[in-house]
Amino acid sequence: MKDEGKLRLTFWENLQQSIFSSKLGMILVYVVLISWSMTTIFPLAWVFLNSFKQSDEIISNTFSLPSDPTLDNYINAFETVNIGKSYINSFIISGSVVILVLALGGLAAFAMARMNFKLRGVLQTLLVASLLIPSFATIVPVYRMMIGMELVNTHAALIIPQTAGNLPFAILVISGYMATIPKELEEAAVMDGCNRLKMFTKVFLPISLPSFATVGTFVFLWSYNDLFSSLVLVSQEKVAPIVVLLSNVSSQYGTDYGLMTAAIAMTIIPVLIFYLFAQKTFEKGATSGAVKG
Amino acid sequence: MKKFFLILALLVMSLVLIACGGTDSDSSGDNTSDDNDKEEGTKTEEVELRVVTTMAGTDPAGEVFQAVLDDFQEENNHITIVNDSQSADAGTIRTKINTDFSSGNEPDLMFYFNTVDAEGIIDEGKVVSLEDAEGVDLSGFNSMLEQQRNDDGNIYAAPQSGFYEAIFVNTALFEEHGVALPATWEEYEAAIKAFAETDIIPVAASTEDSYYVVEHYALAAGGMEDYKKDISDKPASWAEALDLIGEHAGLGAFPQDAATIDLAMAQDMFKREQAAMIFEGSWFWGQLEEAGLGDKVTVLPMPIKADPSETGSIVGGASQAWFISTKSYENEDTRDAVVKLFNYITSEETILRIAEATGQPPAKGELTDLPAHIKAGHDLVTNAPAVELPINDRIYPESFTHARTNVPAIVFGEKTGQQVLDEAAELAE
Amino acid sequence: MKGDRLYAVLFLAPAFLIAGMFLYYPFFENLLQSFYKTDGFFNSTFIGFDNYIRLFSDETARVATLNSLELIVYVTIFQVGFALVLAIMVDAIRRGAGFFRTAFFFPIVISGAAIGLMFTLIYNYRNGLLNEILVSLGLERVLWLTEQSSLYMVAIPTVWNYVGFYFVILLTAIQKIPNDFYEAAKLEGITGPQKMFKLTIPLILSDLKTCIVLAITGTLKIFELVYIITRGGPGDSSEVLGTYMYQKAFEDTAMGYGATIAVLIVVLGLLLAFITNKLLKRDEVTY
Repeated sequence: MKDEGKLRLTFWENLQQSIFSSKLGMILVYVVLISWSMTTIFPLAWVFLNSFKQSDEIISNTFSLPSDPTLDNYINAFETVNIGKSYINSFIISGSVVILVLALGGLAAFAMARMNFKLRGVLQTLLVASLLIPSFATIVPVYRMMIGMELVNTHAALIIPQTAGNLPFAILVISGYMATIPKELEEAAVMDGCNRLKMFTKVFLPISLPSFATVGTFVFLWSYNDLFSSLVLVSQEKVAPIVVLLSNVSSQYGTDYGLMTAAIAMTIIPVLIFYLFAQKTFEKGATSGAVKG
Repeated sequence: MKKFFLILALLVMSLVLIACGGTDSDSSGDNTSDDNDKEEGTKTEEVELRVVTTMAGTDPAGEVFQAVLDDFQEENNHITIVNDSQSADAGTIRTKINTDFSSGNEPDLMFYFNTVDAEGIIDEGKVVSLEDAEGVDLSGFNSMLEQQRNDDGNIYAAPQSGFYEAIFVNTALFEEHGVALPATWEEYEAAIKAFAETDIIPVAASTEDSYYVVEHYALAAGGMEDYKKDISDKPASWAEALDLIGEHAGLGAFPQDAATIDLAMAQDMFKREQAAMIFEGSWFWGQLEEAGLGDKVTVLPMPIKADPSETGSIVGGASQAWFISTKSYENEDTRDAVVKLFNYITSEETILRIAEATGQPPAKGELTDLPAHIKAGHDLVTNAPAVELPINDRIYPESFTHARTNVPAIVFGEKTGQQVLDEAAELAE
Repeated sequence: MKGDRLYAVLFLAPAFLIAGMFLYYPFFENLLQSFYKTDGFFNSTFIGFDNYIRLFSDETARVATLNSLELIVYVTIFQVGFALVLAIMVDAIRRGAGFFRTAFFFPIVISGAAIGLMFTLIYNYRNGLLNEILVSLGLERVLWLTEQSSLYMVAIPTVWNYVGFYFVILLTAIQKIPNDFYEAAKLEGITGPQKMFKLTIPLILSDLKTCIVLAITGTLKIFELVYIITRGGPGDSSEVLGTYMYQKAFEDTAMGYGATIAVLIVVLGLLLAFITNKLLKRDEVTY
């Protein structure tokens, strides 16, 4: 087994050597990257293009430029609903979920990654298990609890269960990242007289920022796009996030494809902004890691 | 680096503040309004009613319904109505309504499916028997009201409007290809064969989402008497119906990709005149008119194979209807208000107002100045010797899903109709 | 470290308290349902293990399980594999890294419903993109979604949709490797490809493991894409556990049996995660 592995490694080594070090190789790398990015940009372009078409044109000429560009879909979306209010609702809900998940999850991840205690293995298994719980399997009891606490149709009704649902993901990813931070850093911090909390805020949090940004982005995205829970827990217009509103506009999986694409286009923009913002954090975090390491 | 943290910290703080502020002000807002309700309840009898319907979103009735509520509130200043309508998929709505009722959070008034879906709620006594309720006005309804009568003999829900299902036929395509409209079973089969030879799909249908196909074939194979039976009777004609679907698929009756498309895709084929026929319901007219097909399309009843003289019987009725929750009716504070609102919403004026927006046959009165094709549909209902609810509104849901999703297996020759029917019946036990 | 126990409790308590109350407890409630035959919300009869017995003899459940497992294989190999290759490439290039980082992320932003719709329109027999191309080339239309192909046709958008997700996680991990490691390696003459296998991959192994676990658990739960593109069909050729559970619990209001399927999902996932851990067992690397 081992020998075979080594043999293959050398084969790969030779192959990759020629790829990475030669000019031709670099061109190949760019070709691969560019062709993949074509496949990812295409659907976005498709959504934006189609949002300027009439519904029947989307099906009949879905991949061509709009023959008669129209803003009808957007006007329709704005006229039927109070879209500003639901943007605010979305940001209150998803923003709070991200902050809570990062704060609570970050602390827990630190403990999971850098401390030794008896139940660590059990908790680890529990976390993996909770990734497997589909939201349809908890929604009915959660809804009942929210009715009991009289929280239905307040922002908290969605913030709390979404926080709970995203915590396992956050803990696993952040602790995976923290696990590989050099031991010397931890020791140095101890020498400086840091307690665990200080060690977290002064050393591990800053170094792990990139993973916080990654997790934050995805948690935001999932919370923001979670139609099913939102429909059940916060369906009233005063608290409904944007997904609910847009599903009301184009009744779920409905046939008004024009409205649907306009709706999607409007939901995507904030997430892209959020991602670009978080990406800045990657860069900052990455350099800080290098400096300290 | 530090600067960045500062910004992040500020952002976090502000978001937390917004978040807390948002939820706090909301919940406190709720509290105060609740308090007001209670305090003023004793003084000026302020009442808040919660109404749950599916009339929202792109449902043409949504706007009209909100206007109806606004008018009502203007007339009755002391009543505030929370319109909790949403147009989600049936699964979500069912979950929400059922959980609401089983957790003591029931709405005062709701427009819900008076079908197998409401059975649990009715059996638990969570909704009022309307005939026994004081002040409820049930006069003036047509036969749709009687259709709401439960097996226990009571009426728990009042209809708004009805629907019918039928074969929607693109008459222009029939003329163009010189095919006779399917008035009899033989003509229906002939039409399938004729169109199968052309570029036109005979029947736009999804065999996975085969609700209407299964229902109409069952009706055709066994007539109304067998159609009304329950799954536990295992009517032989139902098995025959499933086999007939398979046989017709072999003739090329359905689209090539019938097993994976959904209803919307099938509708789309018909709307783009790529298919000559489709099994649909009266709600389909809105889309047809939007597609500019209103004048080209007409509705025909499914020809009955078992007994041609029965042809004209249709699948239809009024499956959504207004319920008053027992909790609201038995509460002294809300009783008068909820009854008043119920009577207002089920008045002939309101029923016609909403029906006008949807084009469905109303449960009271009659719509005038209808376009010819819509009128033809309403006549179909008026002249029908018998009207019965869709099968899936009556039987155990798992059984129907099993039968419906196994149509492709029958089409592929993997199962027989009898086999599928037996399996479906077993699930209901 | 001394006093760790106190801190461990302090740090873990808030997270697990919330998860316990709003995730584990509701799931436990749901689990109890799996011992009942439920018909809607009001009728439930205790039937012991009957739902589990039914599960074992349920042909569709068996097909759905196998399909889910097959999807997991594709997803793990291609999703995580592509993501790793792309991450290493983007890390290696000098120009345009920022652009690719943004572009690769796009598919995740679009909701599953929209991607499902798009692929429906691509595969569609009459008017779909693929067949339109074939027809314009003078070829016959092809039925893309058949009993044989449907699972692959579902796997393609699934893989494609989430490559960006693992790409972002892996790229973050790669960039965390301190520069002096590479510099030290350079002095020893380790460059390019060797660098990748001897340094990069071992150093991000724990992140890679996280990715694989996430891929497995994510695939077991997959629902939206399959539901929209094939509805589990034709027949049950592309039925997966997520769609089957949804169908039972929400379309058929058989909450009890739906809960039983949820239990199966969790058990399967734990088993697979355990196996992954065993296979990738390595001493945890710290630099």
